[in-house]
Amino acid sequence: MDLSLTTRSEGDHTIVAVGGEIDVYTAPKLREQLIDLVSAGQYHLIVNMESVEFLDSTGLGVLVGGLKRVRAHDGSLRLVCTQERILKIFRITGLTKVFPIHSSEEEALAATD
Amino acid sequence: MAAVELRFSPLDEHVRTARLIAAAVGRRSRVAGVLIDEVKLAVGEACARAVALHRRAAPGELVLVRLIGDEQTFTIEVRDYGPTGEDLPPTQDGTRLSAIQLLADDELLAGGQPVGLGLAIIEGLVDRVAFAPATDGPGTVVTMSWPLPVDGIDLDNDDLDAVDLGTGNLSAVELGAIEKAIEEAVDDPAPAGSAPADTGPGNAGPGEPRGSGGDGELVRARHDDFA
Repeated sequence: MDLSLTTRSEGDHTIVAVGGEIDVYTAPKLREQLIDLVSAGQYHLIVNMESVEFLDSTGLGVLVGGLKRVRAHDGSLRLVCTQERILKIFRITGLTKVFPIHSSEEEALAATD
Repeated sequence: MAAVELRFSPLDEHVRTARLIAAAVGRRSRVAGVLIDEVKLAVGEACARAVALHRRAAPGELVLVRLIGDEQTFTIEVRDYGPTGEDLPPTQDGTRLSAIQLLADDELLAGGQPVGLGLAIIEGLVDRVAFAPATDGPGTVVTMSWPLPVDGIDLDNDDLDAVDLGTGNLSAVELGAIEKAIEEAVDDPAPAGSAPADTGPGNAGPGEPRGSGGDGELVRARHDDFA
């Protein structure tokens, strides 16, 4: 299972739907995608992780790197995730305090905090 | 006691191979189905750490993973040949880094590895984990273990159906997944400069068997049954 990435725009937000395994081998693809979006002036990102089957620390590092990039432009990076096994990794590492995590794309799009 | 031993070149793609093998052997050793995700994540983090250390300090050495099942415990040892414990903090309890520290780490913007985060995940996931200097040369051994269900008590292990415990064979599905992962990893062209050209026997590590030279990259698994 490789990593799949699809992006689409919703207003001034860009939704990145990620599927498959985000690990030390595949995470660079996600990093490039996030860098490309920020370079193209997309500063409000929503990463939908509902189809992610595996996430490791490298993947977390890429998401934190993406968050730092968009913040540099007063942007935002929100996550959509309801999978307990993925959420657990964010809790263990304390990153639930860093990322806004939503249960649906609609909720993420509507969020203003 | 039964054991499986895996050695692999320090390449990122082989970390997935190690995860799949650990999950298959874990199931075979009767690790509860709900814990298999933890086994995969923990062994993946330990192997990714080892690969990063090797790439920096021991690119010609193979990372060693031992998967050991006995009656009560499933144990995974990940042994690297990098600088001994230089990324390990003096204490082995408590959180290794905070999210705030992580946010302050500019290495992440440059594509660097989040040092310490993998260890934090291992410690958060695995109740029984130890980091110890290797006793036969440079490097660190990360030992992680999981309790096995007592006979007759099924800890919600739905995945056991997929494993033929009677003969000790992996299921065809698991074998297929492992073979495919190894094939994919070996078929992929190695990144430039990563092929260890010096894996000849003359360069063998202290007391450790080495892979045959000239293959560029290498995955070897050995299955020993001591029972």
